[in-house]
Amino acid sequence: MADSKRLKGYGKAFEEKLDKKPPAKSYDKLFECDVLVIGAGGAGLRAAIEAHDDGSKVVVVGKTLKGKAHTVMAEGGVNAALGNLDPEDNWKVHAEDTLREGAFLGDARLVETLCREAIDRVRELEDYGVVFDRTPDGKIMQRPFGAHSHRRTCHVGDRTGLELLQTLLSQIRKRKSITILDEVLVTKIFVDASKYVSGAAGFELQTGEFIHFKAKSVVLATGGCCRVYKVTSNSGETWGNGVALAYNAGAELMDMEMIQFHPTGMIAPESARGILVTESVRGEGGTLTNNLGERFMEKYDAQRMELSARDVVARAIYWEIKEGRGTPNGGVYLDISHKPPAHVLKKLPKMHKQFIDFAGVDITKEKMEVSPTAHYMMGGVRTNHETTESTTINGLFVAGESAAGVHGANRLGGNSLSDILVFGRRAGFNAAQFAKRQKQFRHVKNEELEKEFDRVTLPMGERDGPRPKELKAALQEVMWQHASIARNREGLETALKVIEGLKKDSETCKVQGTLKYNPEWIDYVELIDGLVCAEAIVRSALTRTESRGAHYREDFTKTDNKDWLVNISCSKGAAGKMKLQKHAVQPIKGDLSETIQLPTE
Amino acid sequence: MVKLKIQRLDPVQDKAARTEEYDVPYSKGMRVITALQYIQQNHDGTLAFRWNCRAGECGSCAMEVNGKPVLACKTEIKPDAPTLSLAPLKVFPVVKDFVVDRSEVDRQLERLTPYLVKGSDKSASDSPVYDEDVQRTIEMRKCIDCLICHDSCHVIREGLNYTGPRNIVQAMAWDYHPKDKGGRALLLGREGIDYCNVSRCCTNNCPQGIKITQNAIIPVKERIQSENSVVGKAVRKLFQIGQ
Repeated sequence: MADSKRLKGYGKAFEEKLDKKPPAKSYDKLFECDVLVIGAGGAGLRAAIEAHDDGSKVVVVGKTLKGKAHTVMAEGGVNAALGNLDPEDNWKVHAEDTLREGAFLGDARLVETLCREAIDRVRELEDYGVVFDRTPDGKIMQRPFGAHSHRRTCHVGDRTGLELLQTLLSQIRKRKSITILDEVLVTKIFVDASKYVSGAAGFELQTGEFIHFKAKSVVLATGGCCRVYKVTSNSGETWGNGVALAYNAGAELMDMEMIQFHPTGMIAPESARGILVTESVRGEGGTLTNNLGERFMEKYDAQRMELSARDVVARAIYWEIKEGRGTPNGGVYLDISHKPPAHVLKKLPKMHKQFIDFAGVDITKEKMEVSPTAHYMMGGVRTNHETTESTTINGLFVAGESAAGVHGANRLGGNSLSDILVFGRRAGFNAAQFAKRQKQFRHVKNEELEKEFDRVTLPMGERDGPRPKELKAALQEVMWQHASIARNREGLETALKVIEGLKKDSETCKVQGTLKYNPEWIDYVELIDGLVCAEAIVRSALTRTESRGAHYREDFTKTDNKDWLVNISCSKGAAGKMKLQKHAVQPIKGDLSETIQLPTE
Repeated sequence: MVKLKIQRLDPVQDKAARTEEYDVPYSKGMRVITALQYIQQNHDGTLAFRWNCRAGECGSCAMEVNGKPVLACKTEIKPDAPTLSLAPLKVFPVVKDFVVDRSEVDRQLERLTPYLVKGSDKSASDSPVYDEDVQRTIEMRKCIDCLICHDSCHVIREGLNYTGPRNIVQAMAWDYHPKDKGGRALLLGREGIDYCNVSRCCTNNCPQGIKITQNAIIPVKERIQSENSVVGKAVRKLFQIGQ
């Protein structure tokens, strides 16, 4: 590493280290706070607001620019049983819908909290200034959504996520003592010998500087990992960094086999691949056909056809493509052009614009090409339902997509935004309370910081090896081939072998350039974190020898409520090997048990 | 093949920006972002540009294509296109390649109370809101904060001390809110809005179709005018507001 020109791009501590001088300190920048919030999407910002209002000094860090987190892509809305349109709706019905659609794998106590508190969280959003669509008499408008018993999805046109994130950001701006750092990639959560969080380390992308965070408690709100799949509706950043952070720190992950695939995503051109095509296209009479011109849904669900359940349609499309009846681009056709153009323009204006803008296709005249797209990670870090604290690490609180247990084996549309608000707030509050009980910062040794620096900068410098982007692409390919919509033992074992190989290859990776805003280096961190998530997905999917919700096994097609009402957890075991455990789903208690029980057959 | 001329700058190594040419195979319907990803994958993994949603919703990937600020995810490359010139938004300091430092505009926004300011009437938060009362705020709230308007603005390009169209949109998103009592017009008066000669460059380039000039800037200018008039001042003194 003698190339002096290259050194300038690193932070100061590293330059000194390379000069063989003993470093004065092992980081370039230090932030001290009561509560460190990792992730600046909806859950993270809501947590920060709560922790601040409870009197904590808060630092929020995000991997991308402020206000650009994946939350902005949420379109549909946020569920809350306000009963504005259907007075018979209440939190219990909402909870029943959520548990049932989650194939009873969700934690009933978490679901109860979600549905009870979503009502207050939505009212509070309105108080923060969110401008929801209105009913004619001035109340919050609620739209119907798939598998909901009532109309309960509050929405802001088709840009609910953007409005929500911008409004939460405005509340952060209002609370001037909150420090918000964008474009910081956190790579490590430190945990001391007694299993208490002691801080974190990360890199400021714009400068390449190494940051040490001293924090009394940490909120993890880092979203999902659907980018480990080749085709996904998710933003570019969702590589499961936070899930891997927690896992490496000793947290348990749970339900990782449960990945939701949306049946219709765009497929061409490449830049638009995976972008969501709303269900309403089929609702308005859109037909699905294969390359032989057959309306193939006849074979899978002759009664409901294109409007069958999401997982059924997704699998049907998947099989058509796999059996060679796909389009040249590897999808199927979705066609609405038989309807009068005026009707399409009136009912599907956004889809019309989306296909014009991103594919140059006029859907009033031409067919769309679609295929299923990885959409949501139901699993995540296993938490204590009351506090959202990790089951194994004291002072680590988890919220949003990075936490497990709310959505079970399948998520209801609109529940993810309720989730980030309800559990974001709870995580922020409990993290603040926890921080109050800590008299001082727990110490992080210099050696620990240096070890972390060396770990993530391993591939930089004079070496030969594969580039992280190539390995990322290989991971996405194998996950898509073998661990997506329809899984079987053989395929999953192949995927596992490939993942093990990629883990080895990642140790010899080569990254060019410096730490200053270097996409190739970010690729490397995302790769090693994505590999943790992918391994957890595949191992859990191999273990679950039944089909349930989003998890479908071609070799075990039935749902088995006798043996498989269990959650599968993954944690780091001896010698770094992933350890899997089963936990029986707890019986439904309290108010909810009057109307709904776990299935026995 | 498509030819791209890319303005690159790594302040660690380069004294000045340099231009590099890349060949990228053409594929039907390809966007500028596809070409840049191809270059990262096949030529240089260190080429820095921001992107996230690649669906026109997050506003991360704004850059200049042939001198015009656009979203890279939405901009199609035509098969017969002559060489395309790509450069970062030019009104911002460059961090690296297409990545620019946006922090100054954010600091300017902080001065404009960019959040809901509620009045003393507490019952207001429970009162109904009607669709017809929120159309102006909704238009402003479509802003995806891509800063294309800021880059298009010739006042900003001349380096004058002006908060810029993006901040006016963000501030007015709250000012137009039916429950807001912020009164930001006079604040904006101190942020150089007078420099704007309503040439509508921002409006013409906005990927969200927000009529920035007509529906944000001109109303503010009018309000400043009336509040600064003799009558306006007297009224404010009488009711002791905005002093």
